[in-house]
Amino acid sequence: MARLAHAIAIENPLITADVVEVEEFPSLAQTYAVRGVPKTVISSTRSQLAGVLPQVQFVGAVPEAQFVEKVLEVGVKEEK
Amino acid sequence: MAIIPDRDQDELKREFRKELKNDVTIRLFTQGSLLLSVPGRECQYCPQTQQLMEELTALSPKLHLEVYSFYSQNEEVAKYGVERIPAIVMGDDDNARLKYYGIPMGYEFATLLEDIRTLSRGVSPLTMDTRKKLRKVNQPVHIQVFVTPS
Repeated sequence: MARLAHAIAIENPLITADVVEVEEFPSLAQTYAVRGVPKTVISSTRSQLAGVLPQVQFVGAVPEAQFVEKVLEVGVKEEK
Repeated sequence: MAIIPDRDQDELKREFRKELKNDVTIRLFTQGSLLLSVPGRECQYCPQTQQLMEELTALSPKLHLEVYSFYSQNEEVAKYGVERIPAIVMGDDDNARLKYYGIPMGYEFATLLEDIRTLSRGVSPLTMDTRKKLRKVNQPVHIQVFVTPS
């Protein structure tokens, strides 16, 4: 998932992607309730609040097409 | 003692010579040179991460390493949005969007190599369909992938 996340971020200037080693940052892992890896959290903000705000998340590997759908869920707002 | 075994270094050198096109900069944020160990500022994996990045970037003249101190170079910390260390930041200088928090070993080292190839060659590993869909993204998206050392 790490590889896919970075490849996706390269594609669009609005997308950022972090790969986080949980054993080195246990408190962050706690914030995001990481109990299995790889765990992917997709949110609309980088702020610490991201831990409590709505977001899309999943544990384990998913195919590229599915990952992209989840990114679109967060990243596409229709113009009014 | 090298972290990247000699045989792998030779192999990587050959691959980089063949595959890399444009230069790639790896920005590493560490604790910097602390004379005293400051409580709360210990960074167990910083020295090892720095050694690994030094070994890696020495394998090709197209790879460049910039090392910043998380505690004293506030301007760069803010510019690249670094929140903890060790951190590795890659991508365009004015909009660097790829990060690793923690030492990239095992699978993550392979991911880092893939990032280097993608950035250097400007060729995405994604399908055309995926790339087309990603163009529709019009709101900021932040992806975090939590991994364990492998």
